[in-house]
Amino acid sequence: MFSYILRRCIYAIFVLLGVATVAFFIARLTGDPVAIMLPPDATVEQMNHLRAQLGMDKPLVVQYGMFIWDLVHFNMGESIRYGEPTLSLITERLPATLELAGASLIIALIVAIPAGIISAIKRGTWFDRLVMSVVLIGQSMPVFWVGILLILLFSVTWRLLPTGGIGGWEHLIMPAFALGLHMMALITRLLRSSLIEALSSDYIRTARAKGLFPRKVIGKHALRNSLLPVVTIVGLQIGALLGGSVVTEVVFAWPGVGQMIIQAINNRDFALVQTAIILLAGIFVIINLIVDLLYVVIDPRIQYK
Amino acid sequence: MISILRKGNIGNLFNWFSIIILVLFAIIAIIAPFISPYDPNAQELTARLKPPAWIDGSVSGYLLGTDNLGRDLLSRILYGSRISILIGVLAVIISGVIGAVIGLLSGYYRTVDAIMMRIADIQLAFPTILLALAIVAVLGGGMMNLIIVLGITGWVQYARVIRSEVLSMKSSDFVVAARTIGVSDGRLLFRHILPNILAPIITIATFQVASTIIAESSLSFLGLGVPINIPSWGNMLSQGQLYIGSAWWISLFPGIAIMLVVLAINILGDWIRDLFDPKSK
Repeated sequence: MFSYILRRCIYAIFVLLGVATVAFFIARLTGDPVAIMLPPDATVEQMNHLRAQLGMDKPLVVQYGMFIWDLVHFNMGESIRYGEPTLSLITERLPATLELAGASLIIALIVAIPAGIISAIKRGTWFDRLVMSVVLIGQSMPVFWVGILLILLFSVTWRLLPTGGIGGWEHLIMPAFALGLHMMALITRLLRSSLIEALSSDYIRTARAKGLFPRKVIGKHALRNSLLPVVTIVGLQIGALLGGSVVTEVVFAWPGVGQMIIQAINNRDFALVQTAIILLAGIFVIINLIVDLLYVVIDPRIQYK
Repeated sequence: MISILRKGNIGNLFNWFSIIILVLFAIIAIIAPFISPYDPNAQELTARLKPPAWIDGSVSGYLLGTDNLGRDLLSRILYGSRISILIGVLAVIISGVIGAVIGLLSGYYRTVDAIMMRIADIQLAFPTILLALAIVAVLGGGMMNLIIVLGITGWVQYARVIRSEVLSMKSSDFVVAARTIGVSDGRLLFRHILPNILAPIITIATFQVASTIIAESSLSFLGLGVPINIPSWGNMLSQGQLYIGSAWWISLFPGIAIMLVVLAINILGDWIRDLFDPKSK
């Protein structure tokens, strides 16, 4: 098992290196990264100056080596706009994004787990059909439009909640719900189908035949096994959650990394975009590494050789 | 899932709903210039921010109201269907072709597999929208770039599914037989194996069209997708948010259009999956 953990960790480092490599080459897609870092009216002297300053007059392999070397030392360049290290700019904004993503995850789980369980038990009833219809519709709405609709209802029409910004729970609830809706729909659907499968299996029949209370059969025997795919999906969907946070933060003027990325793109501040993307992808890789490692604890059936 | 709904015959109803909606939007996209009451970009500054026809203060002739420049919302939504469907379908064709080729080769050749699946893992570490944002930030927006970016970012799902299908098919009798009589690798992969795994490809492609339409509208909403002079649903919603306090209709109707199309595609996808894979019931 130890070698399994070690292998997973090494592989995660490999993926992180790959992420950094992709980010490095995206900046060079047009051939001249300096062009996207300066305003369109920059003079040739300014461009040459920046090029020399960033070491971009050197061969690509050397540039790549320098980039990785700096990255390993957490030196990810300076923002052209703010003149500060990009890493510290992003880490300042990161707590807000993580708060939003965390809150959406919690809301998604709080709604989806009971909804999925009840739908599976009451399979085929009007409740089940209602839940499944809501799930389908929820999965078909873009995150940003859900946000706009919420603002339209709760801020503009009923004047109950602020349209945006950061503050107490009243600022958090709408963006967190909008961002979490897709995951909520996905988990409900997944939990329902995996619970239905579990409920028709032999060990559940045995548990029932033993005369266990239905609550215990479902809660202790069926649910535990059905939650496994949910854990996997939650891990994988964290990526979608971080990606969706960009749009959500813009809709709700939430001062997180996503909003900063969009501002940075509009300011042609590519160093900042690059750092943000590496960091968010890095968070995703690390969360999935943790999920992988958790599996060792949750699912003793799998042999880790 | 639909099989459960079908018990009350709602399933069939859903399926028909999805087909009718999709056919309707496809027709709208084709004949938009003939049925639109106005030029989608024609500005009528005396009729700015007018509400839909059934609300007090509306101006006759503008069924769904007008936007901040006095442009007819209905005409813009009708034209917007062209953008969404065009980008959705083209991007999915690109990602489907890339994904199918990589998936077939990865399933068949172990060296290709070792490399491509590592690359797939790296790409999956990027949330799609972030990767698309980064590339658009460098290359600039515009329809062509958008289609290419959304096409390139979508290949992994196809590649993974096709790879595992090929792996399981590699030792099947018909593949072994074909190889024994000297069929070349290329012919074996594309003429013998590919036709047998079309079902999962079609299923993934269907769902991908839906997610691509959402991705396109999100990028356009952020101002980094379709150029603002082209009427697209994402662009309209982006403007709508600026006037959310005074003109709710700009924020509502384009979103309903997106939702209807994506919902119909998702229902169709479920249906196709159930048709091809009886086990999933």
